[in-house]
Amino acid sequence: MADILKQAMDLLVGSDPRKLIKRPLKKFTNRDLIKLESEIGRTLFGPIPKGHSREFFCLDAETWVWYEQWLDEKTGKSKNHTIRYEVHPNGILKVEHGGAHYHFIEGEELQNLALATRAYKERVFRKLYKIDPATGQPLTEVPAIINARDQK
Amino acid sequence: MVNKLSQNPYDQQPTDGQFATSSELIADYNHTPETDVTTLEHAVSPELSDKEAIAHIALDGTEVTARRAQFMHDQTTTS
Repeated sequence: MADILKQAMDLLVGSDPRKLIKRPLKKFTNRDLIKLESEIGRTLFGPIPKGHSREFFCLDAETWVWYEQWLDEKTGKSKNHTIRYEVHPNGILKVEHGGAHYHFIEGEELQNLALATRAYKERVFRKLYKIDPATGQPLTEVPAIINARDQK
Repeated sequence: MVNKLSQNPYDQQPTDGQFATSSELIADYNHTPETDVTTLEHAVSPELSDKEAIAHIALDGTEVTARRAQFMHDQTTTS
């Protein structure tokens, strides 16, 4: 009797019913998305020198981060430089060396940061989230990163 | 170590050994079919005052993080 039931179940749902359980896809965390955004952000400033790695990303609504790491040819040691650009009501505070150096940027550097953040938003919206940055409307039905995740 | 933000990001990419001008790179970018020309031209306007530039940076950060949060919310509700 049990064999008949098992055969009936096999016919109906296959040999392993657990295979029919739809597992939830891995969800992107805030950190995952920042890493993906930075892959776009790092390209905004042209070619990255050989042996260097670069990140540029929006950490949160008030913080933009520039990070560059490279190998010092003389000493052979790894070096890095991190800059935080903090949005304050009275300006953009540039913080370097863990807070040891800081000042409000102005003029050309401020203009260029504004260009960089706008280009970042444009490209991240279009390439990553597939959203028209002007209208907020989807460019496709499914964001590209969902497609990429599903193909893995 | 030079922070590249001290220079215009649109002037960083060498073309035939020389640095392209902002307008050349913008023109190239504008010819990309998926690019909204109006938005980009607005984005690279050189006429921003410091006050406007600060407002742009603040707005971009707000919109990017809002979009990110929306994406995380959507993937939770659609799974």
